[in-house]
Amino acid sequence: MPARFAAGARGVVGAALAEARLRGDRRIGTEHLLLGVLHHPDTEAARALGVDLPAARSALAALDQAALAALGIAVGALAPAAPADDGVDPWPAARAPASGEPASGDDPAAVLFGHDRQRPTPAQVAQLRTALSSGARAVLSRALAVAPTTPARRVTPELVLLALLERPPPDPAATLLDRLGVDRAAARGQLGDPS
Amino acid sequence: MDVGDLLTRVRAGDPALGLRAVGALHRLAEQVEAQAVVTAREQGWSWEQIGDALGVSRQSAHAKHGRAAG
Repeated sequence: MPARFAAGARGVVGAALAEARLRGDRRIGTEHLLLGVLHHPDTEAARALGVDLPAARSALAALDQAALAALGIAVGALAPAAPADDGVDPWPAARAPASGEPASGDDPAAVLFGHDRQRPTPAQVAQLRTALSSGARAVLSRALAVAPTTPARRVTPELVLLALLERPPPDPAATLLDRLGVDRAAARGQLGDPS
Repeated sequence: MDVGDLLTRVRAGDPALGLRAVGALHRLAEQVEAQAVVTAREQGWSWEQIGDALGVSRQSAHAKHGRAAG
Protein backbone atom coordinates (compact mmCIF):
# COMPACT_ATOMS: atom_id res chain seq x y z
CA MET A 1 0.00 0.00 0.00
CA PRO A 2 1.49 3.37 -0.92
CA ALA A 3 1.73 6.10 1.67
CA ARG A 4 -1.70 7.63 1.56
CA PHE A 5 -0.71 11.08 2.77
CA ALA A 6 1.76 12.89 0.50
CA ALA A 7 4.54 14.77 2.29
CA GLY A 8 2.78 18.08 1.65
CA ALA A 9 -0.39 16.91 3.36
CA ARG A 10 1.58 15.61 6.34
CA GLY A 11 3.18 19.03 6.53
CA VAL A 12 -0.27 20.62 6.65
CA VAL A 13 -1.28 18.46 9.63
CA GLY A 14 2.03 19.12 11.40
CA ALA A 15 1.65 22.87 10.94
CA ALA A 16 -1.97 22.62 12.12
CA LEU A 17 -0.80 21.00 15.35
CA ALA A 18 1.78 23.75 15.87
CA GLU A 19 -0.89 26.41 15.30
CA ALA A 20 -3.26 24.75 17.78
CA ARG A 21 -0.54 24.72 20.45
CA LEU A 22 0.41 28.30 19.71
CA ARG A 23 -3.18 29.45 20.18
CA GLY A 24 -3.69 27.43 23.34
CA ASP A 25 -6.25 25.08 21.79
CA ARG A 26 -6.41 21.52 23.03
CA ARG A 27 -7.32 19.89 19.75
CA ILE A 28 -6.61 20.37 16.08
CA GLY A 29 -9.71 21.90 14.51
CA THR A 30 -10.60 22.68 10.92
CA GLU A 31 -9.44 26.29 11.41
CA HIS A 32 -5.98 24.98 12.28
CA LEU A 33 -5.95 22.77 9.19
CA LEU A 34 -6.72 25.89 7.17
CA LEU A 35 -3.77 27.69 8.77
CA GLY A 36 -1.71 24.57 8.03
CA VAL A 37 -2.56 24.91 4.32
CA LEU A 38 -1.44 28.55 4.42
CA HIS A 39 1.91 27.54 5.93
CA HIS A 40 2.93 26.41 2.46
CA PRO A 41 2.26 29.42 0.22
CA ASP A 42 3.80 27.81 -2.86
CA THR A 43 1.06 25.21 -3.14
CA GLU A 44 -1.90 25.39 -5.46
CA ALA A 45 -4.10 25.11 -2.37
CA ALA A 46 -2.70 28.24 -0.71
CA ARG A 47 -2.90 30.19 -3.96
CA ALA A 48 -6.57 29.23 -4.39
CA LEU A 49 -7.38 30.93 -1.07
CA GLY A 50 -5.78 34.25 -2.03
CA VAL A 51 -4.96 35.15 1.59
CA ASP A 52 -1.79 34.70 3.61
CA LEU A 53 -1.00 33.19 6.99
CA PRO A 54 -0.66 36.45 8.97
CA ALA A 55 -4.05 37.62 7.66
CA ALA A 56 -5.71 34.37 8.73
CA ARG A 57 -4.10 34.44 12.18
CA SER A 58 -5.21 38.05 12.63
CA ALA A 59 -8.76 37.18 11.57
CA LEU A 60 -8.95 34.41 14.19
CA ALA A 61 -7.59 36.78 16.84
CA ALA A 62 -10.16 39.40 15.81
CA LEU A 63 -13.01 36.89 16.12
CA ASP A 64 -11.85 36.06 19.64
CA GLN A 65 -11.46 39.71 20.57
CA ALA A 66 -14.99 40.46 19.41
CA ALA A 67 -16.43 37.56 21.42
CA LEU A 68 -14.51 38.63 24.54
CA ALA A 69 -15.58 42.22 24.03
CA ALA A 70 -19.18 40.99 24.11
CA LEU A 71 -18.40 39.73 27.62
CA GLY A 72 -16.99 43.10 28.55
CA ILE A 73 -13.41 41.84 28.43
CA ALA A 74 -11.06 44.07 26.51
CA VAL A 75 -7.79 42.45 25.52
CA GLY A 76 -5.10 43.75 23.24
CA ALA A 77 -3.73 41.52 20.57
CA LEU A 78 -1.97 38.73 22.43
CA ALA A 79 0.58 38.03 19.75
CA PRO A 80 1.86 34.48 19.88
CA ALA A 81 5.30 34.41 21.43
CA ALA A 82 7.02 32.90 18.41
CA PRO A 83 6.04 31.89 14.92
CA ALA A 84 5.19 28.23 14.58
CA ASP A 85 7.89 26.02 13.21
CA ASP A 86 7.06 24.88 9.70
CA GLY A 87 9.30 21.88 10.04
CA VAL A 88 7.66 20.55 13.17
CA ASP A 89 7.13 16.85 13.29
CA PRO A 90 3.69 16.40 14.82
CA TRP A 91 4.26 12.96 16.26
CA PRO A 92 7.97 12.21 16.47
CA ALA A 93 7.19 9.17 18.62
CA ALA A 94 5.70 7.58 15.51
CA ARG A 95 9.23 7.08 14.22
CA ALA A 96 10.23 5.05 17.24
CA PRO A 97 10.19 1.28 16.89
CA ALA A 98 6.60 0.28 17.31
CA SER A 99 5.05 -2.97 18.25
CA GLY A 100 1.55 -4.24 18.03
CA GLU A 101 -0.94 -4.31 15.24
CA PRO A 102 -1.72 -1.10 13.41
CA ALA A 103 -5.27 0.10 13.34
CA SER A 104 -6.81 -0.53 9.96
CA GLY A 105 -9.49 0.95 7.74
CA ASP A 106 -9.83 4.56 6.77
CA ASP A 107 -9.14 6.09 10.14
CA PRO A 108 -6.97 9.10 9.27
CA ALA A 109 -5.20 8.76 12.59
CA ALA A 110 -4.07 5.29 11.58
CA VAL A 111 -3.03 5.98 8.00
CA LEU A 112 -1.48 9.42 8.41
CA PHE A 113 1.92 7.93 9.07
CA GLY A 114 2.26 6.07 5.79
CA HIS A 115 4.09 2.85 5.04
CA ASP A 116 7.53 4.43 4.87
CA ARG A 117 7.60 4.89 8.61
CA GLN A 118 7.30 2.51 11.46
CA ARG A 119 3.73 1.55 11.99
CA PRO A 120 2.17 3.43 14.88
CA THR A 121 1.09 1.56 17.93
CA PRO A 122 -2.61 1.54 18.79
CA ALA A 123 -1.75 3.91 21.63
CA GLN A 124 -0.20 6.39 19.20
CA VAL A 125 -3.19 6.15 16.90
CA ALA A 126 -5.48 6.79 19.84
CA GLN A 127 -3.38 9.80 20.82
CA LEU A 128 -3.68 11.36 17.39
CA ARG A 129 -7.38 10.58 17.19
CA THR A 130 -8.05 12.48 20.38
CA ALA A 131 -5.90 15.35 19.12
CA LEU A 132 -8.25 15.94 16.18
CA SER A 133 -11.64 17.60 16.53
CA SER A 134 -14.49 15.64 14.99
CA GLY A 135 -14.63 18.20 12.18
CA ALA A 136 -10.92 17.87 11.44
CA ARG A 137 -11.23 14.09 11.49
CA ALA A 138 -14.13 14.28 9.04
CA VAL A 139 -12.11 16.51 6.71
CA LEU A 140 -9.14 14.13 6.66
CA SER A 141 -11.43 11.12 6.21
CA ARG A 142 -13.11 12.86 3.27
CA ALA A 143 -9.74 13.63 1.66
CA LEU A 144 -8.69 10.02 2.17
CA ALA A 145 -11.88 8.75 0.56
CA VAL A 146 -11.43 10.93 -2.54
CA ALA A 147 -7.69 10.38 -2.97
CA PRO A 148 -7.86 7.07 -4.93
CA THR A 149 -9.87 8.77 -7.70
CA THR A 150 -7.26 11.51 -8.25
CA PRO A 151 -4.11 11.41 -10.39
CA ALA A 152 -1.80 11.64 -7.37
CA ARG A 153 -3.74 8.82 -5.65
CA ARG A 154 -2.66 10.30 -2.34
CA VAL A 155 -3.95 12.97 -0.01
CA THR A 156 -2.48 16.32 -1.07
CA PRO A 157 -2.86 19.79 0.47
CA GLU A 158 -5.35 20.51 -2.33
CA LEU A 159 -7.57 17.58 -1.31
CA VAL A 160 -7.45 18.67 2.33
CA LEU A 161 -8.48 22.17 1.28
CA LEU A 162 -11.32 20.91 -0.93
CA ALA A 163 -12.69 18.95 2.02
CA LEU A 164 -12.36 22.05 4.22
CA LEU A 165 -14.21 24.17 1.65
CA GLU A 166 -17.14 21.74 1.73
CA ARG A 167 -17.78 22.41 5.42
CA PRO A 168 -20.75 24.73 5.98
CA PRO A 169 -20.99 27.21 8.86
CA PRO A 170 -20.78 27.04 11.84
CA ASP A 171 -17.67 24.98 11.10
CA PRO A 172 -14.68 26.98 12.44
CA ALA A 173 -12.89 26.95 9.07
CA ALA A 174 -16.03 28.19 7.31
CA THR A 175 -16.38 30.98 9.87
CA LEU A 176 -12.76 31.97 9.34
CA LEU A 177 -13.09 31.90 5.54
CA ASP A 178 -16.19 34.09 5.73
CA ARG A 179 -14.36 36.53 7.97
CA LEU A 180 -11.51 36.64 5.43
CA GLY A 181 -13.96 37.21 2.59
CA VAL A 182 -12.91 34.05 0.76
CA ASP A 183 -15.52 32.81 -1.73
CA ARG A 184 -15.59 29.10 -0.96
CA ALA A 185 -17.30 28.13 -4.23
CA ALA A 186 -14.81 30.15 -6.28
CA ALA A 187 -11.87 28.58 -4.44
CA ARG A 188 -13.25 25.12 -5.12
CA GLY A 189 -13.65 26.00 -8.78
CA GLN A 190 -10.05 27.15 -8.94
CA LEU A 191 -8.96 23.80 -7.56
CA GLY A 192 -10.88 22.04 -10.31
CA ASP A 193 -13.74 20.73 -8.23
CA PRO A 194 -16.53 20.02 -10.70
CA SER A 195 -19.34 20.12 -8.13
CA MET B 1 -22.14 45.56 25.33
CA ASP B 2 -22.47 43.84 28.70
CA VAL B 3 -23.03 40.25 29.68
CA GLY B 4 -26.77 40.84 29.71
CA ASP B 5 -26.64 41.87 26.06
CA LEU B 6 -24.59 38.80 25.25
CA LEU B 7 -27.06 36.53 27.02
CA THR B 8 -29.84 38.19 25.07
CA ARG B 9 -28.07 37.43 21.83
CA VAL B 10 -27.38 33.86 22.83
CA ARG B 11 -31.02 33.33 23.76
CA ALA B 12 -32.07 35.01 20.53
CA GLY B 13 -30.40 32.23 18.60
CA ASP B 14 -26.76 33.25 18.31
CA PRO B 15 -25.00 30.44 20.18
CA ALA B 16 -21.94 30.90 17.98
CA LEU B 17 -21.01 34.07 19.86
CA GLY B 18 -21.30 32.48 23.30
CA LEU B 19 -19.39 29.37 22.27
CA ARG B 20 -16.68 31.43 20.61
CA ALA B 21 -16.36 33.48 23.81
CA VAL B 22 -15.87 30.30 25.86
CA GLY B 23 -13.15 29.11 23.48
CA ALA B 24 -11.54 32.55 23.51
CA LEU B 25 -11.44 32.51 27.33
CA HIS B 26 -9.72 29.11 27.28
CA ARG B 27 -7.18 30.33 24.74
CA LEU B 28 -6.60 33.56 26.65
CA ALA B 29 -5.95 31.60 29.85
CA GLU B 30 -3.49 29.29 28.08
CA GLN B 31 -1.62 32.20 26.52
CA VAL B 32 -1.41 34.12 29.79
CA GLU B 33 -0.29 30.96 31.60
CA ALA B 34 2.46 30.25 29.09
CA GLN B 35 3.84 33.78 29.30
CA ALA B 36 3.58 33.93 33.09
CA VAL B 37 5.41 30.63 33.55
CA VAL B 38 8.27 31.79 31.34
CA THR B 39 8.54 34.99 33.38
CA ALA B 40 8.38 33.09 36.67
CA ARG B 41 11.16 30.73 35.62
CA GLU B 42 13.31 33.67 34.52
CA GLN B 43 12.83 35.18 37.98
CA GLY B 44 13.87 31.99 39.69
CA TRP B 45 10.57 30.41 40.69
CA SER B 46 10.74 26.67 41.28
CA TRP B 47 8.40 24.30 39.47
CA GLU B 48 6.83 23.53 42.83
CA GLN B 49 6.02 27.19 43.42
CA ILE B 50 4.61 27.53 39.91
CA GLY B 51 2.55 24.37 40.31
CA ASP B 52 1.12 25.65 43.59
CA ALA B 53 0.22 28.97 41.98
CA LEU B 54 -1.56 27.21 39.12
CA GLY B 55 -3.23 24.65 41.35
CA VAL B 56 -1.46 21.69 39.75
CA SER B 57 1.39 19.41 40.76
CA ARG B 58 5.04 20.29 40.20
CA GLN B 59 5.24 17.42 37.71
CA SER B 60 2.20 18.62 35.77
CA ALA B 61 3.54 22.16 35.53
CA HIS B 62 6.93 20.94 34.34
CA ALA B 63 5.48 18.45 31.86
CA LYS B 64 3.35 21.15 30.29
CA HIS B 65 5.81 24.03 30.26
CA GLY B 66 9.25 22.51 30.77
CA ARG B 67 10.20 22.63 27.11
CA ALA B 68 9.22 26.27 26.57
CA ALA B 69 10.14 27.65 29.97
CA GLY B 70 13.16 25.53 30.84
